[in-house]
Amino acid sequence: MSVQRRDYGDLLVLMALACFTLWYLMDAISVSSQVQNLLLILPLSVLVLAIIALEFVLRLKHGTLFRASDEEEPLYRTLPVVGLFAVYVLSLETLGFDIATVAFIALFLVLKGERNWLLLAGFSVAFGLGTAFFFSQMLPYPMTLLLLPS
Amino acid sequence: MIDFDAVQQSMVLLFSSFDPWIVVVPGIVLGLIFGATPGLQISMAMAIFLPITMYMDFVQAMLFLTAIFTGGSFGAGIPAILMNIPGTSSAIATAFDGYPMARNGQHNQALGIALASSVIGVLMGYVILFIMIQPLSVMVLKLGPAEMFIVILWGMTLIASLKGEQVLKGLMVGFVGLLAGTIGFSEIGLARGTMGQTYLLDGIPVIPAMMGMFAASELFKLANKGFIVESEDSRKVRIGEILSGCKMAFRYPGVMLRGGLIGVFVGAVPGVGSSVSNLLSYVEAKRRDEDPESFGKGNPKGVVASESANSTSEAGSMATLLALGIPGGGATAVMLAAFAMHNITGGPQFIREQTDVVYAIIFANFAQVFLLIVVGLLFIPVLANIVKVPMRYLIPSVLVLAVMGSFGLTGNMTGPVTVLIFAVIGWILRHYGYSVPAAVIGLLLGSLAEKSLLHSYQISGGDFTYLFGRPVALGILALLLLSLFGQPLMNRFKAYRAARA
Repeated sequence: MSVQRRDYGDLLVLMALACFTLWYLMDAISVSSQVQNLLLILPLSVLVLAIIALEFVLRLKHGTLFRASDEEEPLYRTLPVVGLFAVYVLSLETLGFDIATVAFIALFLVLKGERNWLLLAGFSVAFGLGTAFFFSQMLPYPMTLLLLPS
Repeated sequence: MIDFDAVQQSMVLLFSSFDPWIVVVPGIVLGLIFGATPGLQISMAMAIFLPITMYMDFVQAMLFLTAIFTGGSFGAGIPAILMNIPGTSSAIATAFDGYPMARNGQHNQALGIALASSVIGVLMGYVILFIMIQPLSVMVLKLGPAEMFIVILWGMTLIASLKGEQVLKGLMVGFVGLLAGTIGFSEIGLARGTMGQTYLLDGIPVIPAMMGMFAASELFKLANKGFIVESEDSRKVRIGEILSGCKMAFRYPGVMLRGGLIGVFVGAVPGVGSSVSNLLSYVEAKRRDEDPESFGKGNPKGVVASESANSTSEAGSMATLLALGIPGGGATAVMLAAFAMHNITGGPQFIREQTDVVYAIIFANFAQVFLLIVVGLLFIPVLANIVKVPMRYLIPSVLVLAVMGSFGLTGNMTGPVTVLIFAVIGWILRHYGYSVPAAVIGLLLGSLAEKSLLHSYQISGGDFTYLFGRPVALGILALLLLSLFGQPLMNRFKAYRAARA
């Protein structure tokens, strides 16, 4: 007999969608309760909350409230990659687009098991500096760069 | 039916300089690469390279994006045939018979059939679009804001219903997307949901959000895969046999024509598009065949049916985009964003006032068909190798392009941060089986839906009986209800009849 793993994630997503809907409705009402302002937001929010409630009741009825995702890969296994991407995006202005990009690619390769150090360094430096240089030349806005000429 | 003055002007637009054509071959190549790489989507390619179109004029931008679309439609069939892994959902049915053909040693022929069917499909679709675009624009001119609003809701419902048993989840995120799409200043000048942040006054930056949801979130999902295709069993590709496969496709003109018609009409329905048309065409080809049992075992007709339908869908979804300003799916949603970037609003007025531009897009696609043959034959051997690139190199490269591209769109860190936030949201939604396209299309159409509803309210003076005087609106509403409740009601009726029998 197999014991099914409990997964609270889907329920949390459902709650997050409900919370966002409620918060947005409240915010819109606090700005103005005119019909023109709430014409779409109010009925749509009510509809979304009703659908969420229906989904909740149906899952409760079928005993699938804590059903695990159909995906084979659990979310936590991808977390390091998501975290690395978040650090990359948030460090762009501090480290500069050039250094941050080279570091991101190199760390990603290390994280995913690349042990050919020559290939790792060559690819991350060439691709990172190449794209940063290309975009800095193409875009009309100033890009933060530490190594390359801006 | 055909405005010949506009035809002449469109020729001037296309052939007065070589500029519009410079981007076509790179577009087809990009489409082939993204379409042929399972996990990468055509919409993803278009979203990533969308910022570049900001530096092109509108016709050139459209040529570039439709070239990606055309290349991607065929590209998706390559891994479906060689590895039984459809590059995108539009090539699912291609794998049903393409892969058995490959296993029988006919992979070159199968690739040739797919190429010829795609080429004829695109050609057929745009010929129909060329003939029908004027009457279509006259017809849609009769649509007011009330009809537009119901069409948006219908499209959302269809997109949300794609995942079969998870309709509620699709509707949920689609409608939440619509709500999020109204964040920022409204039509009447009130700012909602901005949390005091000035960069949200214009709303959520839709294109970076789309890049995050479509591209980055899908790559997160693939992060722990060593290769897209783990098998090292590489297959040799021979041009001569591919060409004989091309000829083979013409042995089944009926299957091709039916697939094309299904593709163009199903493709025109918002949210349905090529993902469904290839399956419908395949089912229809099998149902009408003298030997339905041979399907799924390497019947070339299966490949013809699927590929002709998914390629024709491109023209179908372009019809909806041009005539109504409504994207039929992910790829046309990106095109709608390109329209916005060039301050162009798709719809009846656009077709009426800029018919030459519309014709230029259609004619350029006729030319793209021939370029697809050449590029397709040259790139098939190369593309077969893309699936051998380790994911650890592919993922960071595409993420970097998305981040830099989004920075280019907003000119500040709002773009990259939006990509990050929506990548995480998309990743979680995907993991728990929510429809990401429904959320993205909701986000994209939120403000348009609110504007249409507000205009209907102002025209009707708040009187809901106004709707009863608009038969088209009622008709679309009936279709909306039918797409929501039709199948469950039919199932119940069948069960009832079976119980009585």
